[in-house]
Amino acid sequence: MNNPVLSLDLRARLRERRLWILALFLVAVPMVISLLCLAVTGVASIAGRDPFSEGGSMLGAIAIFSHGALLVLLSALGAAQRISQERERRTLPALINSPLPARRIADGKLLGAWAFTLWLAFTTLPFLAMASLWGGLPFTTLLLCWALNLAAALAAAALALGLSGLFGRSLSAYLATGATLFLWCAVVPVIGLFTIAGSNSGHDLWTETILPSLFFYHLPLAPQVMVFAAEGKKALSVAPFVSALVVWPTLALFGRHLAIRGLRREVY
Amino acid sequence: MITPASSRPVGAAPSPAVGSRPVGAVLQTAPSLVLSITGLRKRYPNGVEAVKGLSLELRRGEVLGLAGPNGAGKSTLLKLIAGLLRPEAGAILADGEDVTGSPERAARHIALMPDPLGVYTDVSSREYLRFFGQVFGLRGDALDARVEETADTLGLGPWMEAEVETLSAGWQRRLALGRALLSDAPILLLDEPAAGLDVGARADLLALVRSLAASGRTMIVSSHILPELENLADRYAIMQDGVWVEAIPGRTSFTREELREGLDGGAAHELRVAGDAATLARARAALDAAGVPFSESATGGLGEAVLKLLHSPAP
Repeated sequence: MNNPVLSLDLRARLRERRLWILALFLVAVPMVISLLCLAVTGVASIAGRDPFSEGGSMLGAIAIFSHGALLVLLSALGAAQRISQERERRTLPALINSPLPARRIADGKLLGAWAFTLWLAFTTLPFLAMASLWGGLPFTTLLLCWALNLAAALAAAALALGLSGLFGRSLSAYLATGATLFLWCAVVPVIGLFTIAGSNSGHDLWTETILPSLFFYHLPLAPQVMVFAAEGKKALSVAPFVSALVVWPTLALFGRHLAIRGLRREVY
Repeated sequence: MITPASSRPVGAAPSPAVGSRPVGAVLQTAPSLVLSITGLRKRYPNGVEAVKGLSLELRRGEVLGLAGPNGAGKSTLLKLIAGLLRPEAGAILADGEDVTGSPERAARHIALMPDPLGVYTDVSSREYLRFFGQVFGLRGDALDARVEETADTLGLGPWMEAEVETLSAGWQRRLALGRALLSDAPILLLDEPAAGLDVGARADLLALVRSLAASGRTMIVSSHILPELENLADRYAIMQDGVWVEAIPGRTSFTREELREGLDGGAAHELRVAGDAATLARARAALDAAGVPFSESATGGLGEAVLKLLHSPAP
């Protein structure tokens, strides 16, 4: 796809030191956690348990969940200023006063944000391989969780890009993105807890599938938790995946729609 | 007394007021007309009405010098024409395209050099021009050739590999002008192309704009300093408080000869105002209140401004 906005974005971003520092941060956090894992493995070894598979499981779980949380957060923050910054720096009039439709500008910005997310995601693959070699969890399980992390981060990035189109100041866009992530990851599950607690229905389908699908399964790390919980069991519930695979693309499409609308707003 | 004449289109014979034609109304224009604006109104969300029912007609290859004090509404008018702002009322037809109805399509016909420039600072001049070349649909050899041609025209050659943020204000202005030149749009809108430049850079840039004017594109060049536009435009119009000023009684635009005559005549009505910023502001406000168009052509030193009256107030 030949999108000049994407090409310029990639060229400019690759020169940014910030990008490398963020990647370093993403590598450093699992590295510190891995060292902790090694220490725990040592303790387990002294206690006479199988240190390698326990350490490997722990390393895998920690790598996946710390990676997932950081990836969603950093991807969203990385996308949150992409349009608002154009307004702030007064570069938007020149871009809008061109034959490039708002849809293509938004797509270029979105693909640029996603390229950044992909770059961050790939930095953790070596740790997952290490955790797999350590024993405990099969590499396919770790890879599935890694892919789910990536999908959740792509949705968060698209949503953040859409929000950035609504604001003329990057600080406002960052705050709106943070508030939206908080709403999604903290407020919605709390509402869900109260709803389930207050539900008098005895139907298993309602309390065990529909309400969790509405309030929990689409959370950025929920399907990964279910994958880890089902490890070693024969049956894996599909409800978390259905919920996530409906909600995440919907959020991404909504973000893209907001971005296009934002680019069609007046440019003062 | 010189009076504003907002409803009379610049470039047309005096005509009855057009009023507030609904946004998006289709206008039929004569073949030679490349830009037609009728009854344009724009109010910002803060309540300020920056453009109050302006009309304007420009023919192919014509260059309009748009003058007026800061806050007169010049930049708003240019942004409206470029489709960046939506008018409350009025219609804009650019090269046959309805700007108010389909601003994205109209962008193919209009290239704006905005003020402030808003150039990307984290890329090189070459990357900047290549990017906008691609945006304007150029690819491959055609893109390379056009970028080189534009760089040669603007004298950007030695600075093509330099990061934009390392360029001086003058070179950044040339780069922004280069962006507009990469477009094949028949209408060029240059908002304060020489603002903030020193005397030498200003003369260079205006000479460049003059050569562009000779190339046959339809242009609107704005400045808050009217004499700066001398030798540049075919016709001139003055905006003040969102309306055209009848700089010559009964007319909202005037020719280069009439401008020179006015400036020469204006020398006799030259005001030298010395004092602090508040004093200068009071002098400007007094002229504004009297409806006397003036150009602030030079500053004689710290705290001194020379206000040249384009026409003396009525006795």
